[in-house]
Amino acid sequence: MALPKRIIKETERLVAEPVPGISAVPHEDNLRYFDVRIHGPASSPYEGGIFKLELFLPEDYPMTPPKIRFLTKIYHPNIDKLGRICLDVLKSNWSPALQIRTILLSIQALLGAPNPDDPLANDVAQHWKENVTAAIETAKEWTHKYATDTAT
Amino acid sequence: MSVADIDHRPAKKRRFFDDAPEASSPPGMVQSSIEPKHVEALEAGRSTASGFDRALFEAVVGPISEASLKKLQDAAANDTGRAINMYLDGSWQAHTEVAATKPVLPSPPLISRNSSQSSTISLSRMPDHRYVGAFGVGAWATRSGSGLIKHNELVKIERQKGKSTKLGRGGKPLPLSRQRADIIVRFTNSKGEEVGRLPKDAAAWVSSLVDTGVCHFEAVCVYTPERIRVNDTIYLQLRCFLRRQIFKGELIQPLDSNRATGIFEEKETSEEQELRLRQVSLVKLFEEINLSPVSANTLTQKHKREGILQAAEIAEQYELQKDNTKADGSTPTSDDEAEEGKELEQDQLDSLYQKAQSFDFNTPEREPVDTFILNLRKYQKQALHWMTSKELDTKASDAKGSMHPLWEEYNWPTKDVDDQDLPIVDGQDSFYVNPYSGELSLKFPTQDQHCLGGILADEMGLGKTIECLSLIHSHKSKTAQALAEAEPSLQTLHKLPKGDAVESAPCTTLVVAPMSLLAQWESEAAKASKPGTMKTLVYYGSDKAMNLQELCCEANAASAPTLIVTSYGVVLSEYNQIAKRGGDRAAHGGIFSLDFFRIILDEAHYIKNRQSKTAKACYELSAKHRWVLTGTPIVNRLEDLFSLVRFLRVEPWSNFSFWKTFITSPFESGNFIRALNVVQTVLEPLVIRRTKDMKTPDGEPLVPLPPRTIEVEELDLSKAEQEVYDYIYTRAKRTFNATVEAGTLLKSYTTIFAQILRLRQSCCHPALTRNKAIALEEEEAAAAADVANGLADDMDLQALIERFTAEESEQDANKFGAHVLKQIQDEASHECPLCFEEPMVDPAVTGCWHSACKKCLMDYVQHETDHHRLPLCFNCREPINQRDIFEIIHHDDDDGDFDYKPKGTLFFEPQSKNRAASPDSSDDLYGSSTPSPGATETPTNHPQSKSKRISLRRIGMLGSAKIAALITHLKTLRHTHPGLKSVVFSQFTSFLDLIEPALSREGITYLRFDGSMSQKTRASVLSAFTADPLLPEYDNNPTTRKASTIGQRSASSPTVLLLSLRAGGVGLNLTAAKRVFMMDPWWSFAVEAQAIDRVHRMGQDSEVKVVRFIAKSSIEGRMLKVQERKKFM
Repeated sequence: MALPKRIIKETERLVAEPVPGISAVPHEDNLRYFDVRIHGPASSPYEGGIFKLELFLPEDYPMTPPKIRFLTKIYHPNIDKLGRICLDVLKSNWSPALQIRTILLSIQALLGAPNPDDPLANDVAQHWKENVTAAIETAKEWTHKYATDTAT
Repeated sequence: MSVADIDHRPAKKRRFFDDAPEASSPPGMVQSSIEPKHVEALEAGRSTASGFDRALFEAVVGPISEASLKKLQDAAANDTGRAINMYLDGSWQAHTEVAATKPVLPSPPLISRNSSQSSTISLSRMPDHRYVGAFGVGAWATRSGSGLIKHNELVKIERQKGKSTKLGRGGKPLPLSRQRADIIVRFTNSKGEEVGRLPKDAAAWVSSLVDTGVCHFEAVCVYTPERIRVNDTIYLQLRCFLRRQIFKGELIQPLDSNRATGIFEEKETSEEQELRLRQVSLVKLFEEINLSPVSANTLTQKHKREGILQAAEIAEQYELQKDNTKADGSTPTSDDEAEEGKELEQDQLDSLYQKAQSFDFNTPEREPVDTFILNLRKYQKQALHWMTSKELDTKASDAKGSMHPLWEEYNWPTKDVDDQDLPIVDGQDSFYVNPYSGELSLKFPTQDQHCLGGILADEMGLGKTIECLSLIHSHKSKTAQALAEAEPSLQTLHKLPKGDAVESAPCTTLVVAPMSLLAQWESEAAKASKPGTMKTLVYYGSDKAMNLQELCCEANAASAPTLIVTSYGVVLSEYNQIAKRGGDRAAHGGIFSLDFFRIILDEAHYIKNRQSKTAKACYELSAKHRWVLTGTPIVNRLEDLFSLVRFLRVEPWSNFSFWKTFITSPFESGNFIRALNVVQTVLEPLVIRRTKDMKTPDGEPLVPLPPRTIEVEELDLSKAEQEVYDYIYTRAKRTFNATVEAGTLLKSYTTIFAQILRLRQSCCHPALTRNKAIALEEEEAAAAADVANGLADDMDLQALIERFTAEESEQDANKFGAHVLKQIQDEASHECPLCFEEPMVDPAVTGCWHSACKKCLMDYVQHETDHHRLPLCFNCREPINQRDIFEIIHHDDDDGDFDYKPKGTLFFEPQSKNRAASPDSSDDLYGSSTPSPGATETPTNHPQSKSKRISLRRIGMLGSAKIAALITHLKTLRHTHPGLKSVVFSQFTSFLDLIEPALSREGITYLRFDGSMSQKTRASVLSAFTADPLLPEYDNNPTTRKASTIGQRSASSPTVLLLSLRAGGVGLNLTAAKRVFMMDPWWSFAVEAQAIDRVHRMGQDSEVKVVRFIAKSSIEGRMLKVQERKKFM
């Protein structure tokens, strides 16, 4: 199936006007599949880390939201062990007017503002609620451990 | 005296030679006869002498040899006295020839004959009458007495017809017209006394042969009783001679006089009857004298005589019936009079055309003259050549050796009944008889029919009209040619017609066509001709108020119209007017007062019923060249063809009893092959016919048409439509099952059909199913099915449909503040947030005023609904009310649609809101009815389009998928191909009713054509649609200007024509259009294909695209399958 004009345009724009701290590159063999890298926002436990994600645009995109998942391990109350993200705009609040760019920005924002009240990883959320400092520390460790250049 | 003497018949003393002087008259051929022409002279002759009396002669001079007697007789001009003298003085020996005498001269000069060599005499010309044979008959005496008649006595056969001296008892002559009952044939002895009469059966035909002047009879008494009593039988031997005068001319044209004089009288019956009598008599004669043809067309050989006689009897009965009906005063006149004749089977028709269609691609072509500006295709040039040669009748070129199929060749007998040699006429060993008409000829009858016209039967779409126009240009009368070359000053001779006769119109061609085609003829004529070379006059309606005779007569040739186009109706009405005036053609000054150069009947199957008044009127039109154009010369009966032939005046076929004898009767009695063979021979020289699927020898199609693509577009029904559809479907199914269970399936098939119809309608637009007539049917169906359920169901359905038709509540227009409108407009010019098109395609807005492409928005809403989610605005996440989705309609200047503002639309432009005044529009349009400054300013933000206005129209999910798809197509076309014309077909006129407002809303100008319209309206619709907006109509002739008002075209001619499938199926030429939209399928694709062919036909110069809308997974899909199946059948 031919790639919808919208996806082509979005891809072009992601390349032409990249969002600071975010990159998304489609696979050559599947233009609906993107390798995404998000820089951890400054003054967050994830600062300095580069997080890899995979993003897939399903057949009926933009009617349905893109499927997106962290590949890099991350310690975050809204992201589980498998990298799945709990974000409303990826679920019920998706709108076809949203784009890859806006979604990735939302994810970046989510890194800067974890929301333990709406958890996906319950243990992390628990930790976060009980001891924010320790949790942030763990998050930093994980960032250092998994999301830096030295990490694989 | 031996029987061998019988032919030495003293004859009356006078002969009436029409021969040239050198002609000699053989003995045995010169005897007296009663020639109606010379009755009086004969009477005079009889009173003075009673012919040659051999007995007397021999009594005086003694026995004499046959040969000598003959010569003597000859030399003495049958005067017994003179013969005796000549014999005695020997002068007869020198007598060689009898010089011609004037009929009134009692005694011809003597010319001696120098030899007496052989008894076989050779003549250089046909004698007055020539022996063909003899037969015996038992006559009966009307007198008694002895010595009235002797054995071997010569007897005269007499008819008393027309002898007023004898018949005029009481000084009152009997009318000269035929006395039908009078077939009495008397015979008289040599003294002229009546002895008896021929028996009735022989008298019947002998009388008619004598009356019609075909034969001359001589008789000799073979046996007679000594003493005769009344009713005794006297045996006579009748010797039969064919008169020369009946061979005169090439063919006898018995109907000529009838045509000339009694055109408006009911004379045909008697004329036809007389002809038939004569023909039957002749056939009987040949039977009696045992003369059989030496050659006749093999196909006529069989069944010949009995066939003819039988046919004649049938005809007789028919005539009787006809007479009866006439007596009742009920002349068959109406067009829809029941036609006689069996219908033809298709395969018979095919074989019929086969010959006419065996078109030779190597026939010569002819280039049209340069005043004809269109390019002709090869086959059209061939047609032109054929037509011109038909008109010029260049029969010399094609030396046809074949005998006319209806004629038979007979040899003149060389020996008479007594085995005596008969004189031979040089170069005339045989004669020709047409046993079907009773015509006789000495010349070899070729098949060549002297008709300066013919039947142009090319299939529809091959350009018959163009071919005719090229003919009109290329072959003109001498007058017209002379005129073209003459000095202009000479042309000013202005003379008025005498006004008392039918004037010739040497420059004018009359075209008679169905009313709807008048305009087409006119415009085609203009298109095909160099400006100024074609003066066209549409003679119709109020434009008739001129004196055609004055206009077109020879004296006025210079200014006479080249082409007069009129309708069958006009011909009929003028015919009636003239008939009322007692047949005075000239005084009327109409089309009947002229003898045109050429007449062309277009769509000539209009006159296929020869009994219809229209046909009769057309027969009476007068012209030198007569043409008929028709794609179907035979619609379904052989008689159809007769009417054409009759119009063309193809002798002898135009004689109906002839036709009947030869074609209808054999056909009706099951002798198809013979009848069809004859029809083929009739058709062959007359008809040129090509079909569209003919291929040139190189395999090229005859008419290369631009490509045509047919695309089936499957449409998803909107949800609401689907609900209605499903609802009807379930109910239909239930009805069906119920009837199956009850075993009444066959009985209730109408019910089923009604249900299927409703299903099909619901595929188009659910509102269609509420059609009153259908609703009635449905009520019956419902009653048949389940009454209890019916009511509730019906209300259900009603509710469902109401969603389509219910009046929308007007919302507060104030809600649409200026800024909102501005925002909408700004947004709409941006990128679609869903598909990223920029600008949006068909922008639509939600109730919260967020814009996206209409399709994107609808898809999104649909998607959410499908997933059982409440659709939220993609932008602000407000819930979207499906009914509150609006299309943004831009009214660009270039749409040219100011005059077609949809009713019920409120525009943002204050000055235009008055146009929106119709409250009955079911489609609600929103607009700022209270114009705020901002609203008016909005458009001005677009510098180049000050008058740009937008309006909003609710779309929601409630429209008809097909209408929406159609609109989308049309709108796309409007942008990609401005001015491109489309034709929209539907079989439901009520559907067209629904499409109309949709088009208006879009500002798409359209026209409509359906069966309910009058011919005039149809014509104007067609011409308005066909009108080319780019080319102003040129008009070179003031006389046509008046008539061509329907051809007036406005700057923007409508681009869409809505056609009902049934009304638009036939005859129309819609090549102006390049796109066809079929809104609904028909059971057979052939019907649709015919409709498509209105556009994709000859004259179409660019590709035609056809879109067929089919509702997905509905009954329409199955209909397509049915179509497939039918295609294979």
